[in-house]
Amino acid sequence: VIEAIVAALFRAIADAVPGVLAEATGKKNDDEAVNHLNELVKKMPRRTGAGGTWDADLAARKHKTT
Amino acid sequence: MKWIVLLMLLVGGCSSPIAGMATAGSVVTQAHLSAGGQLDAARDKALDEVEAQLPAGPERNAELDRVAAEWQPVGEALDDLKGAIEVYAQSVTLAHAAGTGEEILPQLVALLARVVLLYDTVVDLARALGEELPHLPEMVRALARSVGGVQ
Repeated sequence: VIEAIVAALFRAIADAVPGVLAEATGKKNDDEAVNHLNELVKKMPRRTGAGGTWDADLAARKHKTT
Repeated sequence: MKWIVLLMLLVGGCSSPIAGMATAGSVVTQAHLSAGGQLDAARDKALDEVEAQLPAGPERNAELDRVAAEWQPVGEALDDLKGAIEVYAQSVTLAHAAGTGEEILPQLVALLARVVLLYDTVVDLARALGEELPHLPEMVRALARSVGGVQ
């Protein structure tokens, strides 16, 4: 039962989120899998706080004069 | 924890526990990227509407602040999720570098469960703003809690 539930977790994400299915089914060795994970992690932006993309966007919008 | 090893090998189609856990990390990272992109676009649209409706000045800036504040909680939740994924990825990387495998799986699974629960928080906060993200079944959330995630 537990195996089925956890498998359902990854299927739920893989089925619903674009691009995830390929991640879940692509076969990689240890080095490739770890390197790929670290490359993906670098793509996640911070949105709030210092250096956050959302905070910077808001500040830029408030400085517009038109 | 043997079943987790088998599951990760099966789900990830991988040749080892490390590759399986790394693949699981890539799945949740891709989910974060996808959810973040959708929420970026929705927030942009909401703020663009403010700019279209009001002339530049204090009134518009106050409205921009108000709308941005509505999006702040989900932005912080995305950042919490990002942080948890980074810790997970670093742990998988260290485990790989140290040559460990099954012995560290319980800790990695607990970290992964926390990532799952944080993703679910993002889903809930996004829904309150009218954005539907892929949702996880309640049984999966319960499993993540039981495995060691914190909510």
